[in-house]
Amino acid sequence: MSVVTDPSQLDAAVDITRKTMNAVELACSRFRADSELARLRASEGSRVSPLLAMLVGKALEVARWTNGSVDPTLGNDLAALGYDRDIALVSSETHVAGTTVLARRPVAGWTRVSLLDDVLTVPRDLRLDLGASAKAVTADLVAGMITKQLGCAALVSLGGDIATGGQSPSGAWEVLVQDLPEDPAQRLRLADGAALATSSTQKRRWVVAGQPVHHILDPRFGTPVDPVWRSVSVAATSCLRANALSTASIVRGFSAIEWLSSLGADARLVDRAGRVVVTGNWPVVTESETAHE
Amino acid sequence: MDIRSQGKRRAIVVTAAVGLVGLVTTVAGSALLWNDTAEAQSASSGTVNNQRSGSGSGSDEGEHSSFSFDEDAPSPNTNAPQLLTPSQGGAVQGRSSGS
Repeated sequence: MSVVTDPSQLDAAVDITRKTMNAVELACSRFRADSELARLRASEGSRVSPLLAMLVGKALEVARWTNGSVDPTLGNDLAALGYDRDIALVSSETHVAGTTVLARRPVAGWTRVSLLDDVLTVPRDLRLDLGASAKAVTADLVAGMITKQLGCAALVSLGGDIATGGQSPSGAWEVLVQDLPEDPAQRLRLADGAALATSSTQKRRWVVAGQPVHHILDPRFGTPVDPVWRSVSVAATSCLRANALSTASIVRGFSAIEWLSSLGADARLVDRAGRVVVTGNWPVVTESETAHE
Repeated sequence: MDIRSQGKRRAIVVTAAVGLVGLVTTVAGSALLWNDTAEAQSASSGTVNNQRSGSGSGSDEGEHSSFSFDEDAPSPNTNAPQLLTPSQGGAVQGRSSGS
């Protein structure tokens, strides 16, 4: 979804949004056999397109920012859990668990990936999954392109990740933060140029061997993290940064509160019981704001 | 990125303009010393090489028995801009939810 401050530019903004999303999907989708990432044989090092190189580079930045809490090399683990196609198809099927030995991994996968300019090397036993960062990168890209090319302010929301660009008429954007309809909601003003991302353990869920699983994995084990938080929302100066911190917080569980506080991050964490914790300068919730929308 | 190996002690030194410095102690007496450049780095240009020394195309030599993402707490960003303020009502222009 794109919101622009100049109605005459809406069609052009939608066109930019669609074209950019299509280009990113064609570069890095795990679910399309014709994507560049799916066709890549990078164990010996392969030249990749500038777009894929940028997307991989951003994913590795996220891994560094989060000290490996968000790792882009968990594609095989997601596939082993049955998440190897669109989530709508995954959720509708019955998945049987294979024999699994839960072992702590000796080394972080992302540290074994090499990107030297446009030459990408990925060890044979790893498979990239850029889902956590590519959507946020796309939101940042689209917001920047609309602002620059069309000369108007824009709010771009891709799957719940929001990026903004330009100067809005009132100096901020009115946004609603809420995961599922039954979750606590909060309305806020997001400053011009700021971004907001929410990661959730309540969506992209399916059942494996009778047990519900979700798509956010602990890189140390390659298995879904304990859903301490229903959702975590973070505001930052880029959507990539916001998404990185929100996803990492899901992975880190309770320790995320201290971690986010130490970073000075503006964050809102909703626990299993629907209780809300905020860090940084996230506006304190008033009683009237906690009502479900 | 400059990667060096000193026997069992490995150090990964990531050089860049600004950032936070931390020290992670890991198993087998190895340590990762890094300079987390956060948003200062641009991955769209230059070189990004995360490989540990001697890992060639990615195979690990087995000196590490496990890894962790625990680390020393970085310094808070006390100069952070005000990104969020309370609602003033009006039409909602965007919604942030998980996906």
